[in-house]
Amino acid sequence: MRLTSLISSLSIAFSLALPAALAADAEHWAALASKAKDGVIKLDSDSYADILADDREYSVSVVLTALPAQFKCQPCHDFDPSFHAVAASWKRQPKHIRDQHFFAQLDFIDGQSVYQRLGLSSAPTVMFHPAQAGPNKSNKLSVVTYDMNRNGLTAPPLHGWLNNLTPAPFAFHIPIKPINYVLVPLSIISIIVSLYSMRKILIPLAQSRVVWGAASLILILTFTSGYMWNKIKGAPYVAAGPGGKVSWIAAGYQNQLGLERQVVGGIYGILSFSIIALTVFIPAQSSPLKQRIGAFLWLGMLVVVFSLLIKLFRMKNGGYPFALLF
Amino acid sequence: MPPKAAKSPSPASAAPSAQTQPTTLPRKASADLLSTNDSQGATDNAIIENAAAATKSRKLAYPLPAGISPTTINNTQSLLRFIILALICGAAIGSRLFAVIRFESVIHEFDPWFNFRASKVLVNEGFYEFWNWFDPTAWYPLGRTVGTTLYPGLMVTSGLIWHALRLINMPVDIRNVCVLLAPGFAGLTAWATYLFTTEMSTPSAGLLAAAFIGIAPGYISRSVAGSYDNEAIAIFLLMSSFYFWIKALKTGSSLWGMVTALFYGWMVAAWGGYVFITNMIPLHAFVLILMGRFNNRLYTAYSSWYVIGTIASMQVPFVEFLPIRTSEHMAALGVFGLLQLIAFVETVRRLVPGKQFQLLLRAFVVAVFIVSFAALVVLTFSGWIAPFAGRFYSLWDTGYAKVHMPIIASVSEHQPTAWPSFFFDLEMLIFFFPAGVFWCFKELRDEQVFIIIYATLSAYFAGVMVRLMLVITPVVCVSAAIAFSKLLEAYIDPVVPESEDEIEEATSSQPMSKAKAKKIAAAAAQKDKVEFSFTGILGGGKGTKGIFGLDTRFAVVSILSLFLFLFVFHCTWVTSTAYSSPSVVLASRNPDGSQNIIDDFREAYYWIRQNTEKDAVVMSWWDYGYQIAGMADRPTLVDNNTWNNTHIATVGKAMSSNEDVAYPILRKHDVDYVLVIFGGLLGYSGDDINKFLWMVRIAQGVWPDEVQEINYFTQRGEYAVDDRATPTMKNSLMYKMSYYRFHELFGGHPAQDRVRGQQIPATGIQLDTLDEAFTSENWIVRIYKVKKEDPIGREHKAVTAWEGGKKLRKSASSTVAAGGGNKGRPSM
Repeated sequence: MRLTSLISSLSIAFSLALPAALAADAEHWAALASKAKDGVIKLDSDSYADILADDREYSVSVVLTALPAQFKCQPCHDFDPSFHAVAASWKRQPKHIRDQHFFAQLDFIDGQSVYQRLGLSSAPTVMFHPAQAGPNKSNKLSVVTYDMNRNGLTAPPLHGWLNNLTPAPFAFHIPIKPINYVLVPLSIISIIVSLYSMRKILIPLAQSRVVWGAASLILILTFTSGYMWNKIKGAPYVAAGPGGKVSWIAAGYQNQLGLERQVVGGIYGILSFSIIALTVFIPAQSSPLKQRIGAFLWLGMLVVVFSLLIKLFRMKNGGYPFALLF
Repeated sequence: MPPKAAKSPSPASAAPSAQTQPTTLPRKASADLLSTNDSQGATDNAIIENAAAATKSRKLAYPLPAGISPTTINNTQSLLRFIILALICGAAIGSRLFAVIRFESVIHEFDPWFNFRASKVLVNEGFYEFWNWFDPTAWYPLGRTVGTTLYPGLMVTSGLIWHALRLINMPVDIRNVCVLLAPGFAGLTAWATYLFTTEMSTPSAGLLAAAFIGIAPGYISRSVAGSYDNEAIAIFLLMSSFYFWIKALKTGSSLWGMVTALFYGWMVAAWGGYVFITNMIPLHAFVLILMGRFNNRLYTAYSSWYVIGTIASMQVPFVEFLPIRTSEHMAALGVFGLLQLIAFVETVRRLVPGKQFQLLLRAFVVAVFIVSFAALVVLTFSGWIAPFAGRFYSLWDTGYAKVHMPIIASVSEHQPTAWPSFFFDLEMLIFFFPAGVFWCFKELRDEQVFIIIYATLSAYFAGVMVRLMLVITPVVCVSAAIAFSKLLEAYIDPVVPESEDEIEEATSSQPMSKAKAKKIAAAAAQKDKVEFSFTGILGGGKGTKGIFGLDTRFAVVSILSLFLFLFVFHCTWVTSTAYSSPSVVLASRNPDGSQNIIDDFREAYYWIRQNTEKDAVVMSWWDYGYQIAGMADRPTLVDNNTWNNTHIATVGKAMSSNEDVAYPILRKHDVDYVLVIFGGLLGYSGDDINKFLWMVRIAQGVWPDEVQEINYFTQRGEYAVDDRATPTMKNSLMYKMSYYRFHELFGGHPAQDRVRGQQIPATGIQLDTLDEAFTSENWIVRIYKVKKEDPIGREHKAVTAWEGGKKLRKSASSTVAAGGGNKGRPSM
């Protein structure tokens, strides 16, 4: 009888202690979060496993990053303020909502084993771990990973993504920087004043054909040489070619590099200028000898550079059957 | 086509007129851009007469036939131009017929199949049926009100041609009208471009431009025979609208303004790209106003175009009230209002002198402009005027589509353009193009301002989207033709200038000391400085004289001819190799060099047509929706009219999920057959596995917590289909349907996917909820039949296991089905 009562009292104690331990768990993280500056809990390998216990009633967003200087992770540093800004916005929620979701950060230096276990080879990575128990339990994916490549490193897309996942939606709060309220109007005023004071030069400049003409031609040459491709796709300036040499021509027809684009733009510019020179400058020459030399010089330039352009195109498009000089 | 009678009395004087023109332009630097060209016509004539007079007295580089009357010359010129233009039209049509000769008279690609189907409805059932057409088989089970969601211009045009041909007793099949519509209109485009360029420069530049646009691959890419799409007629309408606009602007006639508006209305009915015209013409007018070139001709031309054009465009059901309710059209409205204001102020100013009053009026114009602009902004934010449509907006904010509209970003022709594409589509025109823009700046007449704006804007657009190469091609052809003809004219012109020695002789006879001459020169230079100009070479200070030697002339002209020949070869090669594939029928080469036709698509679509119920619903990725509707005549879930993102995402989710998730989706949408395109056997790279990531992305856009792109990549971030493929990838419906029984083909050898160059694991793929129904000859099209629910209520997995004679392990999914699942359990 005593034994049974002991067992029963033990079991009561257990049954009392178990949820109490869980609740303490959430409270523990809540305390940590409220203590941290932006509500971001710093983790290591052990606490990472603890916070992601299988019976958690809260959800967690974890950023896996590598901030120390020896890792040379520039995106980590760029992304860090974004993550903290979103976390700080969440921290402004009332306590009963705030404690249903936590923001946490695991640095590579503190949690190499976690990186190995997840098989992560790149940082930063943001993962959302939904609640596994309680009212916010989700039946869907066990972990949702933030698509860093598509959304970029800024805060608004991260907030938009999290806003759909957190137990309650929250507004993104941008901290007010009073210095901007002084600097922006000041700079606007100074620009207006300087424009007004230079109006003697600026007005003829704005009415000048040469300025507009040069601007238009430069724009046209820039765009037709594929500038927008580089900008949208974020092409590197040069790439490492075979044998460790620096190559400036990208392999493949639908691909290009920064320097390659500049060279092509330059070629177009030279060719256009040769045409203009042949049409405008050469006939204006009043000495027959000078004119003859000039004409052949520019004509030679036109043919040689065009041949180079075709050669360059043949390097990009292997099957191209035509060639001029080379 | 009546070529405009040349103003020049002799062929030789046409060139000097262009050459000497800059010297006689008023050289007022400060008012450089502001100089109006009202006196242009008068000075032109004066120059021509001077030049003609000069021709008689000057030396000629080569003998000209003498004694021919000006009338004869004019007539011969007209005849020659007509013949050349006719030949150019013939070449433009001819070079687009590769596809018909190689394959057959077949409709190409995807969208044309829908246009063809709509044309058949129009021709067979009449206009009103077409106008009110509700298509219950598209976007099953939603259906599509076709009449109000398409641009009817293309179908109506081909319907009219079909009726006209029947009227003269030529009963042509509507399919042939559709197939040959694009080449026919390409011929007309060459003609419109000739007229347009003639307005900008000389008729000879016009002929060059017509020849360029006739064969430029940038335009051919969208207008080969069989490519029955909106763009087929749109470029003709674009160039005609622009031509008539220039004509209206030059003459100030409201008749031409009205013709512009009618062509604009036709354009609106034909292509969504009409927005380009809607913004180009106001922008041109606005720039002219800023340059101080407002005049009554501009006012008349613009007002008549805007009023009639807007009303015309509102007749199209798809457009309706958009012209007054969306941001894309607000520029046109704003410039219309601005023109009224300026016209009012100009009238008042003419009647009421007084400097202060004028100042007041100017302030009034600026104030009204700002107030109405603010009103526009307020209306936009209050939601009465719709903000820019996503497609339009993504042109400016290039990252927008990537984040917010994966459907738009997924289309390959919406990708930015790399430089090889520019060169591929335009060859040498690409560097003659800036030279032509230079000439427009040098002369800077009202109409040439148009070319400058068009060139700069379209260069940007073409850089952002491969598809918009089509928009830049006409202006490149026009501008390059101007540069080319200027260059040719300079070296063909037979007049030989006086050399330095002769000039010196002439000047030294005058009694003037060198010091005095220097003083005068210095004074002139000083005067130039005071005026503080930024004109430089564009100001036309240097007089152009001419070419002395025959050798220079010969060298330049022969090199230019060589360039032209190379251009023709390039264009023919590009058209033949790149742009003449119907993509419905593929061609490959056998080892002996003979052609092998791969006709899997039509084989499969005909299989569906003949072997399935009339109302069987076929699910496929949206790319193939129009083709299935057109060739197989079966209802589809999604098609190329991507109006419902959620519906597309549903298909994407079904394709990218495992069978447990996908099967309920398929059943809920009454799907009977699933069709996938698989190129692994043949090496056809445009298959569904290569498009798969877009399906995942689009599905993720709607169900971010159920579909995750990252799960389809290996840990190392690779997109793999071999052993390394992730479980999510291997269990997805798309993967299973693509590689089902694939390894059996290789008879024990490792199965090789020829597109991705990876080995497919030999472990058999098991499909529980689908049956393979049909696989085409080269495995490009694979069709699966969706199983109905088991008659005795078992899980499909259990059925497969039962039939396979395996003992079923108790799995999570079978316990969910509790009672029903137990019934079907193999009881041993």
